[in-house]
Amino acid sequence: MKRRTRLTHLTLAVPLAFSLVLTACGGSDSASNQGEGESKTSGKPTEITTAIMNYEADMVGEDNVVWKELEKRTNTKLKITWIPEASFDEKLNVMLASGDLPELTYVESIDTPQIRSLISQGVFWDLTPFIKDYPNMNKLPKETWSNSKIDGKQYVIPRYYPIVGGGLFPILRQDWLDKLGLKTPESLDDLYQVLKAFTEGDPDGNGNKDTIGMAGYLGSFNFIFNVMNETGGAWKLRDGSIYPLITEDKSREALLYVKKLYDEGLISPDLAILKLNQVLEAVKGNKAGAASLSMAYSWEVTGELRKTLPNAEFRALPYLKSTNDVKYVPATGGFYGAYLIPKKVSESKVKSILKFLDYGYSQEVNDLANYGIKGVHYNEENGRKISTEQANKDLVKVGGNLGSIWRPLGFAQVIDSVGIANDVYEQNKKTIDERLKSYLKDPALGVVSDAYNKFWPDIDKKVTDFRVKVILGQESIDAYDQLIAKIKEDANYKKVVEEMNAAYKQRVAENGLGE
Amino acid sequence: MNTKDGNASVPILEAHTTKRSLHRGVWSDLKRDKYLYVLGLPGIIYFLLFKYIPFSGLIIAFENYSPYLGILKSQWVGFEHFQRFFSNDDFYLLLRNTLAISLLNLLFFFPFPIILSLLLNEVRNSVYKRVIQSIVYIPHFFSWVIIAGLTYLMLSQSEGLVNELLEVLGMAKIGFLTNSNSFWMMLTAQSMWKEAGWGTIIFLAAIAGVDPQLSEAATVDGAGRFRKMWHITLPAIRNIIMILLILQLGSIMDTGFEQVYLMTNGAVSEVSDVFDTYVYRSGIQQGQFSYSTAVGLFKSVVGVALICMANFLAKRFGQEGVF
Amino acid sequence: MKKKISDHLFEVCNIGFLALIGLATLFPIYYTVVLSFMDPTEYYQGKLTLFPSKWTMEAYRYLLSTRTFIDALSVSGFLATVGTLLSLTVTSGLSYMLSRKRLRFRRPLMFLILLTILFQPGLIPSYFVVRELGLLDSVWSLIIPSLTGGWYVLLMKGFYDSIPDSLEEAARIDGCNEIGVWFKIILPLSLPAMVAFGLFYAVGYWNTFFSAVMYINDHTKWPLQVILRNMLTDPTSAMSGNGLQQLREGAKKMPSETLKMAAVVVTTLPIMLVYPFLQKHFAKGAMVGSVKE
Repeated sequence: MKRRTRLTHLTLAVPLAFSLVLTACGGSDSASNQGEGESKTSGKPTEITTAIMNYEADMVGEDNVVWKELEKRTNTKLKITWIPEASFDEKLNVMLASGDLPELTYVESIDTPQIRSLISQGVFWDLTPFIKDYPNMNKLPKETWSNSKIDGKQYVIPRYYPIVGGGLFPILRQDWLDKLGLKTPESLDDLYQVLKAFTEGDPDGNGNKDTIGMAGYLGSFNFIFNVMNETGGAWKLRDGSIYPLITEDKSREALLYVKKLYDEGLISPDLAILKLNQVLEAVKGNKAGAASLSMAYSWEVTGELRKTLPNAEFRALPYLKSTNDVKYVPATGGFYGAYLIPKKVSESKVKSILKFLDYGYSQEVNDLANYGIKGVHYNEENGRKISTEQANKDLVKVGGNLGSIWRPLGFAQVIDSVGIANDVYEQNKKTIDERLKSYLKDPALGVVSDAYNKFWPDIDKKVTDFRVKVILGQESIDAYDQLIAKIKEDANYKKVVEEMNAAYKQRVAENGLGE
Repeated sequence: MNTKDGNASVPILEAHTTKRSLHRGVWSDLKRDKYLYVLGLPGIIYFLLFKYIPFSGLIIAFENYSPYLGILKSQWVGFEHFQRFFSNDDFYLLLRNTLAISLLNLLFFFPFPIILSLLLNEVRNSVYKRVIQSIVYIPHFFSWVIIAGLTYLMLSQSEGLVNELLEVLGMAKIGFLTNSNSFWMMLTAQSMWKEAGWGTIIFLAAIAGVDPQLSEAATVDGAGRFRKMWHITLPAIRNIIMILLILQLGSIMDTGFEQVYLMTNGAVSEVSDVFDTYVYRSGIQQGQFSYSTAVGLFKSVVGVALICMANFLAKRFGQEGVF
Repeated sequence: MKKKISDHLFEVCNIGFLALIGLATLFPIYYTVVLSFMDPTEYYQGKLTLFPSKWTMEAYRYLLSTRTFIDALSVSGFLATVGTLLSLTVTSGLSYMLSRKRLRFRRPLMFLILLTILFQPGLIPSYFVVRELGLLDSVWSLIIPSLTGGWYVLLMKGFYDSIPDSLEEAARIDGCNEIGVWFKIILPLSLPAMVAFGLFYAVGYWNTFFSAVMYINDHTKWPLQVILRNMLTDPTSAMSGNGLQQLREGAKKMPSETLKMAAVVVTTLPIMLVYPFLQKHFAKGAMVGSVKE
């Protein structure tokens, strides 16, 4: 048997000799031509190559003033490849599969099978021993670090993102609430009443029943599943084990809740096909009283509405309570995206790259990347940064362009926006304080397994698609029950749950109880 | 050339001589046509470099490919990925959807540009003809992302123009995009809208090659419009139609990934999941390189089989064929 | 007499039918153009607006003032001109060679080319080839790896098939070799076909998207479609509990619908305008078929 395998390999070797040569050359070239060593001294700038996802349509180049200033302050020469969001998955795949990894490799998620298997094959540096030397990084929140550990080690430098404020959660028309004499909803029952009033109570006062409670696509209503299950993320921790939300009994209740909203016309009739942009259109067009969006949107939509309705205000909900009075609001792991350094980079270079990243976590350089140069691109008033016209011209964007390397520290990126009105800003600050007290963790954060990667996407898709059909009335809830019963018996499903629990227990043992 | 006379005379040596003459024939043929080969050389180099060399990468369909071991050192697993694919519950669903969409395309989308070109060819007023031509080819320039966006603008339930119109007329709104019964037909209609006008270009170029005298002669002979169409215009484009038809048959397993991917949603996923979207999900989104390559390879093999069959049949019925 | 009436009837029906198709095609396009000129605020509030109350060029002004867009426009322009010429040369040479029936190994060659239509070489091996040729991050990586294609070769060969060898022999007597024949006689003779294929190639190059994502790192060398895609694609996903997707949705700022539509118009218009200039060649005489004896 063995012999035969080897023979097969031999015959294959001939056409493949060439590809071997190719892979062999691939790994080394970008490491060798870099100026290594002596980067500790502030003399020669360190050249750093990296590829980072950038949301902006208009991307910044190395002749930009802020870019130059950033290079000067960090004593680097930056070679950045911007990857547009629309093609990020494809590009990252080619980089990973071809081995052409930049010295500073950016990934959006550290839980993908490719990244995990590369890490276990020893492709990236274990940065744990280095990190203590970088003071600014050490000031990042504790969760940001503990949540980004893999197998108990720090292979990645997390890109900071505030723990609350992101994620899809309702923002509501405060002026409509006031007009209809309603309070901010605290439970799902309250929310139902509010959405009903938004639909039927003529909140826009034009005498026509032409508004709906909430605009959204299927993913917009995920929060309902989380509130009912009293957990963050897609897994529920019960008696020391984790269970997938999709098969939980409470998820059935949540599904029926959404169906009720749909049947009574309180949410978008075409939720199956809606996209983010159409949701935004509905709220900006004064047609829907709520949407499930990140807090950062509250000003974007309010600002647009105030062009015609000066009193309009979208306010983010601080939390929603389950029937057991457990509060829920979505949370992140304290980071969004992460950086890895391939082993082909020399140790001294690793240190200068870390130094560069560390600079960005100082308030000073972080402000530079996100807001530009003080006095040119922004001015400070009452401790807040007000952008100037020049900022637009020089493509300075909060969390975009150079701000994609390090998104802003603190909560600025979810509560502050260019041109934001003071009342909205103050309200956002209050909401964040509330949310910090109310968020629920994702128990399965950072927990992955082989079977999960292989089988879960299909299982998840099956259930999600079926939910749509139930909501639209194309399938009955009985059929849904049958599907869930069948899935629970499925061998692949069982394997996923089993492996995930093993991984979960290991992670708890390594990282402490993710608290 | 002169060897031809030689080998007829000595039957015993025939086999041997034929072989040798073949060799000499090849060499002299190659030499004779050397300039012709030079002409085709850049193209041949292109196919070697950008098609045949990368083909060796298809080997990873039989391995557990890991980028850091390289193609050669990755673990050899034989047909494991194929087995996993065929034993997948969804395999028949994918096959059914793929075939259904392709067959609808073959039935409606394929002949439409031909009919359109024939009709355009019959228009006497050349200004009108050019205006129509210039309009129908435009959608080709839109990428699928744009077409999908336009489809939503037209057909969506809450703000689609068609549904607004239905409402004005006092009818109930229709969820065109979430209806699994009409989903395949909608894809076909989209393809027709996008590509029909463009498809006429190639046919009209061929029709333009018809000698006008032929048509005049036929008119003198008293042939009607349809007979002229049938006997003069159609034969002129028959070759092209055959080639396109054979290629279309070979690509029956392809369904235009982007279009389906952009139009799919939970309510129709049962009829919209095809091989191409499956490959994308498992390959690009989940990074299962070997598995998705295996699925792609399966598709190609089926395609080759179909094309060979179609080509054989075409020749059997006295047509050109592709090769 | 009876024939005349049915003839007329056909003509009227034909014209009516074509008009219908024309309208069905035109309407969504009209809507796109209207949206691109609309004021965003009016768009959000408007219901079924087929004619905006206020026309504004704001979206266009913004788009054309961004450097990224202008860079991309010139890259796409370069691809569509230089790429098309190179592609036509290579494809035509190979197809002409294959159309000569006396050629040795003609059938196997045809079959090998046909195979390339059916088998897609993997993404990664193709990437290796481009990298080893040193083409990464160069605009040539968007031209050379897509110089020709099996489909085009087969189709063009179909056109050349009808050119008799006798024509070539006549020219050879005048002292031309095959390359001379091809250049002086075949190319001019097949002008309509060449124009048609040129248009195919030009559009293909203009729509270059995926290879640019793969091979080009420097964003100033991106063609238009990458920029357009970036503006149009929506990060929405329906998957349950996809936390990452939620973050993306929260972080991405979507451009307004009017801006998107303006981008569609600007990226489509230049290549669309090429067609009317070429159209007359399609209808012109001197065709391949007419040389048939």
